[in-house]
Amino acid sequence: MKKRSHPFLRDLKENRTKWLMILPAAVVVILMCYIPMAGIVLAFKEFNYHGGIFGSPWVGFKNFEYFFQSGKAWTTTRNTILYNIAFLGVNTFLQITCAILLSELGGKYFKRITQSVMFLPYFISWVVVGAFIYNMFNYEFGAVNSFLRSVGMKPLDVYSNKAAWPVILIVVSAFKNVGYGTVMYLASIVNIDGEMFEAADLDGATMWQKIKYITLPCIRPTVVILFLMAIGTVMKGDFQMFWQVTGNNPMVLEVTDVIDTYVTRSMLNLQEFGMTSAAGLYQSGLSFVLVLIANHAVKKVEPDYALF
Amino acid sequence: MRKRTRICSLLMAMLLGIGVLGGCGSEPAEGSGTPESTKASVPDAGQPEGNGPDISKEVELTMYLIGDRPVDNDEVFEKINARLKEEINATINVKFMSWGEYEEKYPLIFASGEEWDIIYTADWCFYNGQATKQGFWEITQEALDTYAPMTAATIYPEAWEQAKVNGQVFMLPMNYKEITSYVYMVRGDLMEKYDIKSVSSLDEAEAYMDAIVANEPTLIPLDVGSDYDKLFVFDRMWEKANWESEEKVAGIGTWQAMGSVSELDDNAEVKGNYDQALFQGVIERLKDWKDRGFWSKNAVVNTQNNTESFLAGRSAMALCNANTAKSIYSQMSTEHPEWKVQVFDAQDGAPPVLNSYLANGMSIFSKSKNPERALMALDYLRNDVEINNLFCYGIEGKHWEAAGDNALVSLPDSANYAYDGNCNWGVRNDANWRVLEGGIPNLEELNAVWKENARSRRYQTFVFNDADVKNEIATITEIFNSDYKLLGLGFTDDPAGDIAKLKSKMTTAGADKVYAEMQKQAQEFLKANEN
Repeated sequence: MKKRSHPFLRDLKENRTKWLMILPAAVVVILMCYIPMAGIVLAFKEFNYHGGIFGSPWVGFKNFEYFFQSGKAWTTTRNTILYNIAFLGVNTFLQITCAILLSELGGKYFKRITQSVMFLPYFISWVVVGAFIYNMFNYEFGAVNSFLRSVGMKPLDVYSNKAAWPVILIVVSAFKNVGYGTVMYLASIVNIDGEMFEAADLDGATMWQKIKYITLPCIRPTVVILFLMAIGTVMKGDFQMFWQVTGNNPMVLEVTDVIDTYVTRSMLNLQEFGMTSAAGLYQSGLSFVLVLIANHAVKKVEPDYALF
Repeated sequence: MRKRTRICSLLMAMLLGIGVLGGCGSEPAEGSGTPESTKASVPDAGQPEGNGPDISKEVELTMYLIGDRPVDNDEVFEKINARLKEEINATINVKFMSWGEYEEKYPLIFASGEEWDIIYTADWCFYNGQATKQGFWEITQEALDTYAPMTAATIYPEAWEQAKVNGQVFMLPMNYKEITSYVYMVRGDLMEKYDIKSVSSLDEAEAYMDAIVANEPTLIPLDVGSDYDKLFVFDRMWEKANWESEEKVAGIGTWQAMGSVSELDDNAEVKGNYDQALFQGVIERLKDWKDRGFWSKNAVVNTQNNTESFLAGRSAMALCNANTAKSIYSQMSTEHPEWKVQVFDAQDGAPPVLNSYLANGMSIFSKSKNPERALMALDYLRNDVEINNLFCYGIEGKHWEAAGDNALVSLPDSANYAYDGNCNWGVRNDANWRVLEGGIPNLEELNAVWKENARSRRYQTFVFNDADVKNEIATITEIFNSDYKLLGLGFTDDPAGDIAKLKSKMTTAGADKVYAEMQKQAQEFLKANEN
């Protein structure tokens, strides 16, 4: 330790401020993500209370059989992926559109207020959104149906209509998330060098041309990074949203059941910790593979923006 | 720059490794080496002082009950604890989990590492599942004799037998013979208005609900559909149909498995309910009722049970068991005397079920620090007249007063500690029991009919061991909670088609294997019990 210490230790000493800065984040990640990861073993065990997570007997891959035997593996995987791709596409499109519109709009106060109003739904709990949806679409007393009845039309039976739910879910997801993303894109638009726009104005570019040739290319890094981060969660349904908004409705499970809701429901119904951990592990495994693939693809196209 | 990132990632990898190893390494110490040792939990009767068990160390036991904490719970337990302290040098701290969350919370407290000792349990409340997962402390005959001598002397032998799971007992079942029968609670004011005389059969209920649908657009006739009562109406129709049939079909095994068997068939051939001849007729009637608007079109996403809706004035009728009706009747008649709530028999000819003793009971946690003392405490809760009365009815003179030897009258303060309402059902004891006088006016009449007709079913005490068909049961449970629930609430446009669909799903899920296994065990059960 006296003269030629290890390069890592030297680095630690030289850049101690930086190391100190990443310390809280590292501690949180280790405590919340890596240590609990040891619980994965549960997927290969027949859990009993006495043995606990580590003392219960091993059963190999038996827990996985249940997930695939139930025929639910395919439906839930399909739903999870399709919904997330739809959310990702719709939300990103709306977020960029709104950001550009807001940036083009004049009126400082109008802009501020619109921005805040759009951001607000992000803070509303899904429980509240779920109650909101129920009160709108409830067959007997829902707002939509009361209105339809009052104008003499036939009420809609939304809760047993499978086709309605993908639309509802995509709309509420946009309702909640568009404002948040808009602010991120807006920030990156504001950062674009104003001289470029001035130069374009001098050259007589139209608004469309400016958007197409300046704004969009300039925010591409932000889009790619946000996209990459979202890919990592494509296998992870927004549990709260699916659980609360659909009310765990068996009529439409076929189109609304995602891996997360399935795991939770089986956990509540069966109390089989092993089987549900197995389904969870399957989900994490797929997620991991997806991130690797997406990252690889990005690396090919835009080597600078890849995560690793 | 490059190098630094590499060091960085190296460090992260190292931390990761340590994290995982740490996770693996530290925990086993707690639970390791004893995965099999519950079986060895024969009490150590080695250190009794004099002739009783060692109680020199004072302990506080934690007891979990289901429900909401009654206002006067602490006052009642103060008195119970004073006695227990004196007798066995222990006190009880009561914790509650509400009915709304118990299904989620119950299994979790076993896994959470929380320290507690005693819990309410029942055949419908996780007993088998938690027992096979080693969640409960085994109560051996020696333990019973040593630590619970009063119970050992008074427990009904058949109750003790029923409590066995693979030959081991994990519960002290109630020492009380109970009948479960269903009733309709109906708004008397609406009956008068629409000239309905009685609502004590399915047909009469149908007429009443028709009147509601036609004239009271703001009321849902019967607001069923929650997890708790999703199959209540189905059950009424199904039981009546089966009771009136030749074969006397009755359910067998875990109810999620949807298996049933003819009670007259000594070969015990188990079939899915959907394969029974009468099933389709019942589903068609349910569909008809649903289409006529007897319950909400959103019934499947209901989270409140039908008695809550009825209490809140949103529905015109409630369907519940007689005990529930007893406990809410007086509340309703004080809060809404103008409703003139009436109670009618909903059995409609089908005999009420003479409950198994396992319908209520108390168990001890397998990781309890003081299982012996917990057993001693349970012994007093069950058998000591003073303690048992305190737990079951509250404080004498405040919540109730005696009316003869076997009855009591509730006092106004019982609103804060209701008769038989504090999840005390696991310690009910015929020897100390007092019936409640007052309440539902026609209860006596109803009880007389039920008592006369009550019977226990042939497979009442049959316990299905699903160890070999776990994966199948898991899949079937999923079907039970979706497709079967929908049929049971009449949500189908094509009963025959949807029943066929349910059947094919069940076959894919391995129902045949489950039913074959069930039949095999049922035959063994008959051999063991009836010869």
